[in-house]
Amino acid sequence: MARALHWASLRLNRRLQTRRGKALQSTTNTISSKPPRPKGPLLVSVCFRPVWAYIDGVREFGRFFCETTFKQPEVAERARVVLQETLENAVKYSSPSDDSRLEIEISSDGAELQISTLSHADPKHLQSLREEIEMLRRFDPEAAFIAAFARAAREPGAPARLGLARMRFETQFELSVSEEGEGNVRLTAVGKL
Amino acid sequence: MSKLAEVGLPTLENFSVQIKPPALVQLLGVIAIAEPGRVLSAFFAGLHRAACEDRLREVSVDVRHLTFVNSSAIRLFVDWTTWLRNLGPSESYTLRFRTDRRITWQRTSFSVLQTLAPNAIVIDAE
Repeated sequence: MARALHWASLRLNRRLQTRRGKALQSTTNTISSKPPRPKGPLLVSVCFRPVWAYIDGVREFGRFFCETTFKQPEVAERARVVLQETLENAVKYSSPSDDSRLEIEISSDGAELQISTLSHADPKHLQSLREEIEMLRRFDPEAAFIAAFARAAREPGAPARLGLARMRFETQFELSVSEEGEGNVRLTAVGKL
Repeated sequence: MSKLAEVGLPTLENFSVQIKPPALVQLLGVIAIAEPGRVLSAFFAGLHRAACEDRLREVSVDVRHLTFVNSSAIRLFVDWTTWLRNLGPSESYTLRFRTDRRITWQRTSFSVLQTLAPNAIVIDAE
């Protein structure tokens, strides 16, 4: 627990209320190599060691936070899926070193919700992530999910690789992935409230 | 004696299974562990084998109370569908999923699963 607390920090920002209703820039791309612009003020930032044991707790906190803040259970459920899949992805692709960190941020301007993870990707897996993104680029969200199912069916025993496609189709969040120097990878999901 | 009733149930926190012969399987809870296949793949394979040995024409899988799964768990249903597709016509059976349309993952994932085996997968959405 002490180690977890050492790594974990949590900042809640209550500026959302003052920004509600402000005009937004829409996200037109689905997968981008550019770092995304923040969607309104930062509401939550959590930083922890990228280990699986923390995923359930962070996911459920994020779901609770979204349900409490936005008063829309459906938004909270979508956020839950995004959090699960982005956190899993970040943990799977993170460097296994003791000093690696996973940072998750939730921001909103009152019309859209943005959830992003920043982690130091294991170089061995970075290429797999790039290939997955390329696959997603070729299809709309539903077609990409169908294609991912078909691939999983063709490759029994291989990793499922359904997560990103599932997230896009199920939540209708748009995804972008960017590298932010020295192997840091940011995966960002933006969806309407 | 029903082979389906003899399938050993998995032990997994926040997840449970009830088997009601001759052909009903209820899945309840949450599956969000790192590698659900390690814990559950043998169980799902056991269900499939039992359905074949019992010569069932249909197996009902009630997932209405399986409230949340990660994508690795969805893989389990893909695998089951693949095993089903590989059966010959004389030994095949219908896999009927009873789902809750209010639960997003069920609404989206099972409709896509059906595209893998349209003649063998039936979705009852309530």
